[in-house]
Amino acid sequence: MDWQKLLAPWSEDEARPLRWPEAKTLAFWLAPNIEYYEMAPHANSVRAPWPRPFPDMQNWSWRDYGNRVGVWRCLELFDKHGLKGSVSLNAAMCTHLPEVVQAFVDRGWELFCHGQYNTRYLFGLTPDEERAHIASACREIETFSAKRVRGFLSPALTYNESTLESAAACGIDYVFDVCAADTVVPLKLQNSTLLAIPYSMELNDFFAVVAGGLSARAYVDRFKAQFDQLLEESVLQPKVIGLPLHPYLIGMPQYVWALDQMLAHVRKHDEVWCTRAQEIADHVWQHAVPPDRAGR
Amino acid sequence: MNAYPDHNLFAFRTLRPDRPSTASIPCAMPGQVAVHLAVCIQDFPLTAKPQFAVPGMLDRPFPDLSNWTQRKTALREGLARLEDLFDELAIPVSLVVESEALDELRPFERLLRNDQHSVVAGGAHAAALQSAFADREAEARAVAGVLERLHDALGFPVDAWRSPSGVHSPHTLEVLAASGVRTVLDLNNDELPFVLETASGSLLALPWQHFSSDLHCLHVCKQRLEDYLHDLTQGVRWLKAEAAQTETRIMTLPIHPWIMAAPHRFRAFGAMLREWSSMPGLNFVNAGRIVAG
Repeated sequence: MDWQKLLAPWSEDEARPLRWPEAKTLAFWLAPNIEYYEMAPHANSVRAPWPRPFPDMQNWSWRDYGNRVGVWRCLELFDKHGLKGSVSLNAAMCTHLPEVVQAFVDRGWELFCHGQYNTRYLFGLTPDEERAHIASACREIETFSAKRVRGFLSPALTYNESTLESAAACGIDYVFDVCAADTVVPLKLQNSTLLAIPYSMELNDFFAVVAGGLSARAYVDRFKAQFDQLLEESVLQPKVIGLPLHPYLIGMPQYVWALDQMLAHVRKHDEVWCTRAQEIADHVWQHAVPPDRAGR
Repeated sequence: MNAYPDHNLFAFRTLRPDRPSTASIPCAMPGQVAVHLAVCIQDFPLTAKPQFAVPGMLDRPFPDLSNWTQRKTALREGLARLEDLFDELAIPVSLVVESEALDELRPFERLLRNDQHSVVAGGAHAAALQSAFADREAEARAVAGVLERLHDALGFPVDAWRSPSGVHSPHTLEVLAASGVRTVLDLNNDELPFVLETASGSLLALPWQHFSSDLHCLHVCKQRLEDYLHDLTQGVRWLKAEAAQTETRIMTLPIHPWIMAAPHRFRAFGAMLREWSSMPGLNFVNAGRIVAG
């Protein structure tokens, strides 16, 4: 992987011609992480899956809360605000907890690949093993949903040098692992191009609240500040704002009200295109990536 | 395929009455939202080093005099403030007691023996993690020792358990069930009780919520107090609205006197509890009342 060539230098000119559909300026998409955590996962040479000795009942049971309780609260809010987005899905959910996945499928959400389990990392896999992991996960999701999987976010944000190439080799055409911009950026790989769609790590509930220590009130303030700034900038250049969520966190009573306020804030603005990642990608492929950069 | 491929402790269920996957345990408690305040009364031995760092532990070189003595406010003025508040508001709570703290809790006998409250065994002390025992038998002896010491000191048996820092060994649940424990407060995955099956028998899991606690939000995440209390009150209001449409919800709020009873925090905490205690459809409960319901 030639990291220096991955991202083209930032240029206003290249992005300017792009406009979102119906003259909207800011694209908003929801990215709930629907994840399966094993209590007794395989060991990984780079990272321990749990911070405490087996069984890490405190942390494991909290993740379980997401599928038992939190996700249902989130779905009610998504329905309330008339929103559907793109699910960052561990494929194992299709096997172990299909009712959770079905709830999103029934509502027309996109499903993209977030690996097999959130406790099985890509760290240390050979390129062949990595491709097999991603391909297997995509296949499982496609079998469940009867729709092709096009998007990828690495499980637990774990990577090897080969990860982006492996994703492309598995038919992925857009990823969420690259945090370089608030616009869609083409990634130049050896023989292909991927789109990097903003996943908005600054707004990721886990990083903001757990790692960053924000209260729910402060998280709402951060979201509104980011949203309002990008909305203002998007008049000149179309922007994308994603909202990565983890139901085991945002679905807790003292945080879920914050999600309600954030979604209400989004819905107040007519100039926002509320959409799914696949529509963002489709629009960019069609209207903004020069043919010589597409490489598809 | 099994919802949980790597254990068979309990079945999966969703907290949605319109699509139950297993029958939930009826929770016939009064009111729509049951607030379960769990007061964690801890002992921090000056010389004890836990197997790994857990939140709240003494973290400076020995002797960590300032942190060690700061934690002791929980066994002195801090607990006294809370006792007065609970008496004023007539609210039942759970007292999660680490047995090594008992010697310093003699001034609080009335609190511990008040049948308005429930006592939960909290292990021996804050560094006595369940994962540190050499084997199942050693863990079983330790659990039995804690239960016996509490029984001797309080004059009644204690059959509810909360592991120090929520840490488990591979044998903990089995050991607890075999030791006569009936109720465990170590899992953070639900908002209503459910049954756990172990090789030694069943346990009733009462919801715990470490990630709502003052220890996590204030001590670890360094949230501002006013934000934390505001978020909790919003959460209670959310649960009230939800429970009105579905069924009773339990909000478990673990608090640690060495944190929340510090004078600069206590006033606002008291104001919040006064507000909650006057909310229609909200009741305070403890472990015993949840089990009885």
